[in-house]
Amino acid sequence: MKALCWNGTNDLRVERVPDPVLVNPHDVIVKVALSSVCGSDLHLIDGYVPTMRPGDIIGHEFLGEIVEKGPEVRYLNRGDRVITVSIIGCGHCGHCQHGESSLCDNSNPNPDYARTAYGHCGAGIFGYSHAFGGYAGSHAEYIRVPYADFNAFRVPDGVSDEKAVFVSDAVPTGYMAADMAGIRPGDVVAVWGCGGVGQMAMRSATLLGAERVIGIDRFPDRLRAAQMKAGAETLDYSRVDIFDALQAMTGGRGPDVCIDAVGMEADSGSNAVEDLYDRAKQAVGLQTDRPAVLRQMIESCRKGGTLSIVGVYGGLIDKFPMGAAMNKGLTFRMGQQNGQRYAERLFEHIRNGELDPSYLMTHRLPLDDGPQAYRMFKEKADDCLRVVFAPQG
Amino acid sequence: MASNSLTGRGGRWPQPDSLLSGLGSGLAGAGSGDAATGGRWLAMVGGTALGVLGLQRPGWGGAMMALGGAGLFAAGALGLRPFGERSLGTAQIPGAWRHQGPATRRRSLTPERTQAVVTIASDAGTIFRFWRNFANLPKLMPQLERVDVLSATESRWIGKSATPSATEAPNWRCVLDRVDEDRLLTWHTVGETALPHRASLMLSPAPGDRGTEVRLTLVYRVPATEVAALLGTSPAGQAEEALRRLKQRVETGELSTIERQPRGGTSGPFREATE
Repeated sequence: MKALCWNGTNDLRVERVPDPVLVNPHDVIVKVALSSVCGSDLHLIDGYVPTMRPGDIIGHEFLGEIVEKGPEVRYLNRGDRVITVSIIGCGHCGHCQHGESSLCDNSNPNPDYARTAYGHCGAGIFGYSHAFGGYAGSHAEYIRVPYADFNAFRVPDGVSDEKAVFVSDAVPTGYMAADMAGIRPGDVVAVWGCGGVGQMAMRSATLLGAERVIGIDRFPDRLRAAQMKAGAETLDYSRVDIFDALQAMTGGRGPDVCIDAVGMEADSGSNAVEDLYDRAKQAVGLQTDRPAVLRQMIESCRKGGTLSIVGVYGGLIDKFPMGAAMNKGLTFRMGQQNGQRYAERLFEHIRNGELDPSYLMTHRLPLDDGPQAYRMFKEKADDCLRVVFAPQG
Repeated sequence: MASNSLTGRGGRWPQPDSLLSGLGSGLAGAGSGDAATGGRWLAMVGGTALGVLGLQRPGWGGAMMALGGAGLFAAGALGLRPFGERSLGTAQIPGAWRHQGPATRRRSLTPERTQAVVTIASDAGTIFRFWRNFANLPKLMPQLERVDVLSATESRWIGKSATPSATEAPNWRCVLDRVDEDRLLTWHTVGETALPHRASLMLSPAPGDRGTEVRLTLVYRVPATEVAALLGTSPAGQAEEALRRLKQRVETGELSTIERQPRGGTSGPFREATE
């Protein structure tokens, strides 16, 4: 089959690889119909995630049809149209049983990396480095899905592929960002990053009762989408001072909830010295992640407010204003998404017309265009919000 | 996985049971002459010296020294081993550590203790039954080819050769020491082996509804480097991997893996491969 493989920093190639096979009794094989790029893939491509190996198939957000199933798969059948949650849970450990499947104890077959770096090991993720299990990703014609009964969800009738595919990752990530922030009626929610996850976080915040939602980015097309599709007010961080603007918009209180949908490659936009400092330290390995958004959120958030972090961080950051966070009494919530907990609820929102993520798919391309597609996505060219590959043509 | 391991003799985890440390002293004691007897003599001689010194000093300080010396002497004389290991009869360890030939010469003076711990979302009975059948252990320890259960208490363990050049795979016989249903299992090697060791599996309820805490302790009488050379993994690696696999087997019925999955990087770009 064809697959899009990582072969080094900024080196993606479409290659011919063997088809996947059933390995464990709870596996299924999915024939991939749609597979989306994700902003977190850029961290792999840019070389910021150290446990990639040449030949790794990337991609983790996908929809397709089950073509083979293992003998212990009970609830799914061949021919089912399914999405698969990008972060793999076993369904049985204490974390999976309590709706924290991204913290699964069992799904990462290479726990030593994460245990060394983090103390404990989290779940495996499709196509997201060997620190997260080394599972083959979805930018391929077929993919093996482990613990399928827990991780794959039938797409309800009436929900199109274009809407459903994002229930694999972007929608639950954004929804969880809003959900774990504990939004209350009257809250003002600010979201840093108006990519796919940020867009979903803004819409989800409204669904969960936010009074006002403010999206922050610098790309006009993304800010426009935040206004038109997600119902947000917007701020261009390259044009305004974010702290001043947010205080002015909230009567000097600051947003009640601040959501980070950017992660480790953030820029402040307005403070050239800070950005230069962060980039220099990252370049020489004195920090792995650039925390510009975290600093802005801590400064801007109202006293006693909540920071909800779903942008991906991998390692260490520098100049983290812990004093401000402590003395303002902030609450931090964060984590990879627990999509298994939300998938059915999200399909209901889509069926009810309350949520339509299909506008994230600005480009639909064949897998052969993978390297160019990621270049376009990275450069935000052609108003690209998300490229979705159709490996079957 | 919430697993931690500690190698060597220190560590923040509690010892699983007095029996295991008792086995330690027993093993040392069986070695001949041994540290246990030496410890008792040391206590008695030291106690005498301290007592004499104390009696020569006037005042409360001297009296305290004399009392301490007397106590130390008494502890040594009664076999209480004030310098560490507690006494436990070696009779429970038939034949252990005696006449072990060449392995005896390599025997570590201080046992290499490793402990790993994990919480499993299951009841203790299920976990205990799985481990109690030693024939299951090759599923948890990839270093093992098989375990033959010889009787209710004896088993023969056949390892895999760590290196292709090895002439004989490591193997050893084990006997069970203690079977405390759903709580504790201890066993040790008997007869001649290059890997003399003892081990225990201890189960205890985790707080709340978190399942069962499982502690595996391995105590090798040869250095960890020697274990690694023969088994291909250190004692710490062996213990951690065994518990990781035990947890997966019990909780999910399978082991997570990426074996046999497709990957690129060897066939070159697709364009080249298809031309």
